[in-house]
Amino acid sequence: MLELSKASKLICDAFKERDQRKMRRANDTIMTLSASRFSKEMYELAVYSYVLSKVLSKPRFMSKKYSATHKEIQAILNSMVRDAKKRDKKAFRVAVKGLRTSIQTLESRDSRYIKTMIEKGRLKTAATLYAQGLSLSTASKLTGVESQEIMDYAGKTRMFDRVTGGKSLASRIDYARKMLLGGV
Amino acid sequence: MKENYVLCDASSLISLTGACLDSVIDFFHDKFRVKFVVPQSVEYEAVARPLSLKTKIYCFSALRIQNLINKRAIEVVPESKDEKTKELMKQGNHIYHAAGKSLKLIQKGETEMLILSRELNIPSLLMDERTTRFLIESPITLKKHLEDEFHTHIMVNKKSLMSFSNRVKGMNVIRSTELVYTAYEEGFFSKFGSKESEAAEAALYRLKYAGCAVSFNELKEYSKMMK
Repeated sequence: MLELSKASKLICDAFKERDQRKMRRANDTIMTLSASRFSKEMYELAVYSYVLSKVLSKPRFMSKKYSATHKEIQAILNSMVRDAKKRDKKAFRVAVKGLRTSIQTLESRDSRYIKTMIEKGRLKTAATLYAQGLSLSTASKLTGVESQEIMDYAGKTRMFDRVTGGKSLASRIDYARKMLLGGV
Repeated sequence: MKENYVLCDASSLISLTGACLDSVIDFFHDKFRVKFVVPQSVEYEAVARPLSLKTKIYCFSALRIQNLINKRAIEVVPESKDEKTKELMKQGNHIYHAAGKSLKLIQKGETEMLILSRELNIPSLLMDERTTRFLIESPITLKKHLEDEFHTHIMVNKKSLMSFSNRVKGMNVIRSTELVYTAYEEGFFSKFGSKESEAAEAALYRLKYAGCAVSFNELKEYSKMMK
C-alpha cells in the first residue's frame, strides 16, 4: 500500500497543479511499478493517470463549465491518497469507482469516439505491460483487455523494433521450409 | 508425402485473420498436408470468447478461424493435465526477479502449448507472441529487455531457468511471417501475376501491423530475399 500511496499522491499533485506533463511522468512511474509489482489497484492508477493526462491535455475538458467535476475529481484523488496511507483497500476501490463515474460524466457531455478515454487507457496500459515483457495472455488477463485488441494496438507501435533477439531470420525461414515442406 | 504437424497459439491465428491471410493455412493443409493443431484454450481465446462478446469487432476473425476448424484445416486437441501446466508455469514465472519479487510473465495458455508440444511430440510452434518465444530461444535477451524497461537489475533464478529450458529444449518457433514467406516461395501469391513479390511484401507488412512480433529490419531482409 506504500507504493499505492506514493502513486496516488503523484496523480493527486499533478491534477491539483493541472500539469499534464507531470501527470504523464506519474503514469510512467506507475507503469514501471505495475509490471514488476502488479496489483489491481496499481493497474487502476496506471489507467487513470493516463486518462487524466488526456483530460488535462484537452481544452474542452478543462473549461470552466466543468469546474464542478474538476473539484469532484480532486476530492476523490485526495481521498485515494488518504485511503492508501491508511491501507484501506476497500475505501480505495470505492474511490476509484467514483473517479470512473466522474470521468465518464465529463466525457459523456462531449463524446467524440466510440472508444471512451477509460477504454483507451485500459488498452494503452495493457499494451505497455506487453511491451515491457509480460506475455500477451498475461497482459490480457491482468487488465481484462482482449488479446486481439492488444495485438492490434501493439502492431502499430515500435515495440517489436526496440528489442531483437532469438534466432536469425535466415535460420527461422530455413526451419519453416523444412517444417512445412520437407518434414522435421 | 509426410504429414507435418504445427502447434499454433492464439496470437498467430489472430494476426493471420487480422491480416486476412488465414487462407495460407488452407494452402499448406491442402497442398502440403500440414496439420495445424491448437489446444482447446486457443480455440476458446480465438473463437468462442470473441463470439460471446457484446462488441462485434473481432467476430469475423473468430468465424474465419472457426471455419478452418470446421474444415479440419485446424485440429483442436484436448488440454494437457492441469498439474503439468501449473508446474511449468511456476518454473517460468520464477526465472526473473526484480527487487526480490518474481516476475510473473506467462499464463496458462502459453504454458499449455509448451506442455502439449512435449506430449504430442510436435516440436514446431507457430507463435507471433514475443515473450514466450524469447523464453524458449533467448531468455537472456528477455532479461536485458526487462532491465531496460524496469530500470532495475533483474536476477535470474538459474535453477528455474535450467529446468524451464530443459522442458522446452528442441522446440522451434516460427511466426506467421515465416509461414507467409514460405507460402510465397511455393506460389501462394502467384494469382497477383507480375505483382507477386509486391503482394507478398505487402502481406508481411500487414502481419506486422496486425501484431506479429517482427521488426522493420527483418521485413527489409524479407524484401531483399524476394528480389
